[in-house]
Amino acid sequence: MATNKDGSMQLLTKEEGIKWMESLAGKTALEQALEDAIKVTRELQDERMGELRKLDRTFNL
Amino acid sequence: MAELIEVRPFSFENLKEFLFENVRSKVQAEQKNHVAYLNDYLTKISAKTILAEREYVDRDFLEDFSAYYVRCFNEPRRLCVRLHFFSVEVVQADIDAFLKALAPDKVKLLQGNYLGFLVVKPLPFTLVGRTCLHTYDDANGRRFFPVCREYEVNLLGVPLKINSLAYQEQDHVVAACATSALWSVFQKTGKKFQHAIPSPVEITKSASLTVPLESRTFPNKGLNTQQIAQAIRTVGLEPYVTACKSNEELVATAYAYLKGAFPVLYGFLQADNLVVKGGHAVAVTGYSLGISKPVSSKQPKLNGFCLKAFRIDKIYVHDDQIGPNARMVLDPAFANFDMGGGKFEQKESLTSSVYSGAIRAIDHILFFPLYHKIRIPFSFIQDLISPLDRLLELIRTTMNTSWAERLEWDIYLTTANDLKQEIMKSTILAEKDRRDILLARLPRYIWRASATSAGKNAFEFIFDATGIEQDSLLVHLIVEDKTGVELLVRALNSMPLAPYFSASEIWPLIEWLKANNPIPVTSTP
Repeated sequence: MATNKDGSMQLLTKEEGIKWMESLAGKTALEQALEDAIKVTRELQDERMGELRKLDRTFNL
Repeated sequence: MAELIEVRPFSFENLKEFLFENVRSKVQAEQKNHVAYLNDYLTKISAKTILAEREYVDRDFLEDFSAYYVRCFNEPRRLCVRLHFFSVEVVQADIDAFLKALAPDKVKLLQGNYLGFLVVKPLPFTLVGRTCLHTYDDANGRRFFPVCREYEVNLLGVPLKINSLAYQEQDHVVAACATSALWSVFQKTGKKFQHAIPSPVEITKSASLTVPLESRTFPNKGLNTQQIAQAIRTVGLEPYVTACKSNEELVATAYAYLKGAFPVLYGFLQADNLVVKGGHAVAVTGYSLGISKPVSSKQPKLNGFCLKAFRIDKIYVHDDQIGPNARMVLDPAFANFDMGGGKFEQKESLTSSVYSGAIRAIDHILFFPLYHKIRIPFSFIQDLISPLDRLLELIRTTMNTSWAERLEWDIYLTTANDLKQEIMKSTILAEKDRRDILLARLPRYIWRASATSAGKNAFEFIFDATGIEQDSLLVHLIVEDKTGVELLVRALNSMPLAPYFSASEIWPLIEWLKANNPIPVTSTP
């Protein structure tokens, strides 16, 4: 994403975007986003496993 | 002696008279939630006439009767009254007309305006037996009741049909809430997966056969989680059981199965004025997509992940304490619940529409009776999609794609046949792509994960629901907007991807996307 003179953000064109993805900055940003997402997915999976302790219950109302 | 067939205009008084024909105490029966609820429900679906069919033999009650009631000293009668409801005025003369001679117009009158039936059991208090009623209307595409099925009814030789899911209240003897909820759920799975539909007494017996109760089986005082799972195994299905820690997890998971007509039993802790009273179980019959705009996850870790299911504001349940298709409203506010033993916990809840918000549901458990080959659960598919979504959102907010808004995902289980039927009716896909998908070899059960942006279809992943988690489950990709997918594949190819990623569940999917570049996609012209 580029920054205009007035401070607003401008989206990269498709060609600029592809160049950015292939640059070191782009690769790092993309890989970091994916890594963060995988980490939180694992944390959520752990939390989900914790919820399973609630399965021991009787339904009688 | 009362007439075998009796017709009356629909009114609360007439409904009560029919319902209370066999009760021990009318004063006591009037206190039941069901009576006022049914009157309200039938009024909302525009009932105008009640037709009572006396001396009716109901198979489910007969099973319960022969297994338990017949040996009571004061045994109840074995014959029931079946009440039929019509949305048009029918009078006794209309019935007499076709009893006397051929009267096609009268038959059409009944067939075209049928709202379903309710079996009144001849028990002293728990009188609502097998009930199949028309659902609420779809409210301009907001309400959905996907697990309904067709019931064929025969009234004096007139074939009638009703699209519904059968309901009945627990009798506190052969069935408690969990049995009644299972019985409703099996009404759908029996047709969908081809198994015999057990009666309430058969369900309770099978549940406690290998996992016995601490106390006696009958009169039944409820089933536990293992027993519900066992009852599901007894009909030849596999129980997928999961706990949900938030309202959004509950609706996302329930919707993922319900949309493709896979029924769900919902168990929860029931609280009265924020004091937890015990476990209750209901059968979920539908949902209301009442929120018109996309809703992001409240879970901060999911970084704004957007599911269509988050638009749900209510679910509809067969609650044997209330009646069929009772509303449970999602309350996003946290409340402080007395969990017992001096322990208090802050939780989101669902409120029942019947008790002015006093009765709430927390700590959700969902039971899905599934065909054994459906091995991949919803959570696994969501865990594949959410990291990709994070990447796609970075691409969307950095580069010029045609996605005006964050992608909204619609993830649900369905069958290859249903997908192909939808594609067959579609006018959007190009001829080659349409042909490709209609001829594609697909597993019988599939997960669909379709992405839209600002209401426009972007692309859709088709995953194998019967596969192995460690393998790539992606079997097809339908692309309606090429730019975003092209950029995603380029991004994956440009990243060196450290060994860290190869140990993640998403790795087979990444490899598939990279290896299939250019992707053998189904795309729009």
